Amino acid sequence: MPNGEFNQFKQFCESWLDILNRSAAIFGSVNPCEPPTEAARQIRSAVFKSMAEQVDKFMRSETFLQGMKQSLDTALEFQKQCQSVLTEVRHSTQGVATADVNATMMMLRQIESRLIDRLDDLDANVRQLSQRLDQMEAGKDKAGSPT
Amino acid sequence: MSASINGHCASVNWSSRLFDESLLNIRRMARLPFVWQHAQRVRKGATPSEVVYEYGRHRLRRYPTDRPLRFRTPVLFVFALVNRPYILDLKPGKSVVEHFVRAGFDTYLIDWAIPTDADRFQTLDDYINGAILNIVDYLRERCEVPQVNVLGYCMGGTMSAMFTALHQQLVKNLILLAAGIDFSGDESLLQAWTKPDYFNVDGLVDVFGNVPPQYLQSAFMLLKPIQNLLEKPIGLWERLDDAKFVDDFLTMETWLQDNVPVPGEVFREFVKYLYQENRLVKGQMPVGRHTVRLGDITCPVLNIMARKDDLVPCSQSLPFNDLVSSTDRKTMQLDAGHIGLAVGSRAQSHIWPAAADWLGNRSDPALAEQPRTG
Repeated sequence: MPNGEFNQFKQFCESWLDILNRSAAIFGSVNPCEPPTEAARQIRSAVFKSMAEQVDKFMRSETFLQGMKQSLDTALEFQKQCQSVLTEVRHSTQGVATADVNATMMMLRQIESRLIDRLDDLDANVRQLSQRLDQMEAGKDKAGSPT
Repeated sequence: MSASINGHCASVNWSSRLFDESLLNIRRMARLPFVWQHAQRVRKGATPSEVVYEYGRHRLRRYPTDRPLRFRTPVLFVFALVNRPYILDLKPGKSVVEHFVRAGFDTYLIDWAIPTDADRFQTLDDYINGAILNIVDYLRERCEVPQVNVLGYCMGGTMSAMFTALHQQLVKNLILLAAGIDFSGDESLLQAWTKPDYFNVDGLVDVFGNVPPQYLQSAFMLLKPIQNLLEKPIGLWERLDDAKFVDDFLTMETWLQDNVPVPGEVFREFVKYLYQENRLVKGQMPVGRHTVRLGDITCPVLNIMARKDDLVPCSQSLPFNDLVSSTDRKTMQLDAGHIGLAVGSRAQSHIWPAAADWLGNRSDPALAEQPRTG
């Protein structure tokens, strides 16, 4: 049920039916004379497998994805407000806030990327020039060489 | 009469087993403090290494050995930015690095170190056309070779593929290990979670800067919650008296919990351009002023992937070989998970010896046998 609405009741029933089916299959092979340690392990493993499949379905459902989106949005809003309050407090005491450091770093990044771009251009030009020189020299050698 | 004997026999069996189990549990309980002590002493990295080059915070580690070099072309390991790289050299017998060192390669690994808030504006361009390019240039100069072998794991594999596409002339052979290339499918939960309708990557990076390790850790844990929260601890409890199992478990867990923050801008680019827009396969992946076209890759390519990988499923890695222009390309698949591909016993016995052979057949032989520590 990718990205569909998660029907809790249906999934709950499906999950338990699946667990019961898997357990019943294992119970059939149990020897009553022996303690059912291995059977218990197999049943536990079957239960976990079934649970894992259900959880995977749930985590792909619209319900989970919307919940995840809401919790992230809330966390981001909360963090934004905290940062805004802290920035105001720091500014009111003539201190430096994280936002100021980020803004300065952003400016430096812009300057850096402009410089790198220019250097890249220069590098490309120098390569082009040296290629042309090589070609010219090769041409001269060809012209000068006795045939 | 027979039924009564059977019943008696069963009840004796049951009570004896119950008694044994109780004793075993008491023994396990008594071992817990030692396990805790052991967990504090887990060693990170097995093969001795030395830092030979530093570029900003990034370090280039070399694995020296007394064995003579068999190949002139060095091999460079590029790891992801999410965890620490010592998973490639976890412990003796579970080390990818060890295989290549033993095979006679001059082996290097990039340690990205732990990003700080100052790295929040670092982009893929800074890593690919900055750090990796510088390190490769250093290696070419150091080893006096025109090209190097590159092996990238996970996100490091994706970055290695981009690097090779942009600088093909510098790469002799490329090995990708569980590298995400085609993000169009819906197989991995991460693909479902990062859809633009549900995941505000811009908001996350703008507010937090670097992506906190706890956030990534919980996302990875949620990929398999039943396995991580129930099966794993129960498995440990049941095998608490198996010293080797406990040692392996603690070594692995130490690495799994050793998450580092991911530089914000890199995370934004990775999620937006790859997970959300799948630009790499479309030939539209921007890295700085350049655009990555996988078709520019012409060197031999070995693409290794795990069939049970929940982080980077095979469907994300497989298309790579069809997108490159290389004529010499090979795929290896293993029945393992994302981490098992590096440290699993089947990977150690099958994949890595074969990968070292593959690389050896395509690397320049050493000019004269000389110890690499020289």
